[in-house]
Amino acid sequence: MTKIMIVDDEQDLREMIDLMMKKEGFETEMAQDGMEFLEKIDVFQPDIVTLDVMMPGLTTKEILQQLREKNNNTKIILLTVVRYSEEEKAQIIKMGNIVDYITKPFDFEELIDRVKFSLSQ
Amino acid sequence: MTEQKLTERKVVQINYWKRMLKETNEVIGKLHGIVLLLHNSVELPDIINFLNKVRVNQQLRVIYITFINSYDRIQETLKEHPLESKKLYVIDCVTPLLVDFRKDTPNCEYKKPPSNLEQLKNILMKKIGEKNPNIVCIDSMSQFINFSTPTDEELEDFYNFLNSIKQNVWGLSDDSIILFYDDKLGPSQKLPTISIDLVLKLEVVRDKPSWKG
Repeated sequence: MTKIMIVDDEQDLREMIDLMMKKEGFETEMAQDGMEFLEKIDVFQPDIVTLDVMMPGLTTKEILQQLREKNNNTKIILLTVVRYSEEEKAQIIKMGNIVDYITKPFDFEELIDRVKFSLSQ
Repeated sequence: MTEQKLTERKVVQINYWKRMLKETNEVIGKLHGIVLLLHNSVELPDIINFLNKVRVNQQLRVIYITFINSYDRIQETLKEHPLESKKLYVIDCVTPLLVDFRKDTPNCEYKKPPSNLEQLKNILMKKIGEKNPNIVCIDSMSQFINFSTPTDEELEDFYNFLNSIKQNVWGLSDDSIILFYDDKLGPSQKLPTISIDLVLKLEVVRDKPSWKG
């Protein structure tokens, strides 16, 4: 079974994505911040992760840095309210692990489609 | 209904909305005090358009602290949608989260986002003291509070935040703090009433109205 990890500090959104992914047949795990994510990733070993950009504690940049140090190449889809410039978007996509970038608020069907597409790449 | 009656009804509708728009623009034109601006996920050009209507033709200093738009994105947008007669200073709290380190510029400083209202207050009070702005925009308060289900403690923190800013820094009656709030999280069940001078709701309609063809 394909494993997905949902990392978001907004509990309602986290649980909603979790429910949707379970319905799609994924095995899921959740984390509410970067620290919990880094603790759980080695045990759960997800195939893909949805990661909120703005969470308390570790920044996304710090989380990605720690994944690099672990040589962990798990695919990550960023979920964010942040509007970046075109140049920054290109820079983000080139960063390690990140395979896609979705701006909140998003449509759940779109998220599922993009998760499946990223897994097929 | 006859075609003539339909046309008359359309004319009444158009006149009604023209009058509403005129009155709204008058309120925005004279904007002052603490303003809570509820909206449905407005984009940056909508914010610039809104700011352009505030005290038109006055040379104003604006501090814009952002948890939504990166400074790069702001610059990109300003090329197509210029901010008229206002000098903008940006506190960018989103770029440091993800992209490479950027040096502060005369019009922007990069900061790690505050994790609570007390930290936000400290950043703002320092910067207001330095820059003496006429308008401060916080985009967005949705990062700190959800008015659809706020706890009493969250509301108290919010009021304390507003009171601190008002008492310690804010002196002139013409000055404004605009608190942007995206109500996509749900309808605001407990709208703050204390310490807020004006609540505005900005609905951005992307579709053309039917009478525009």
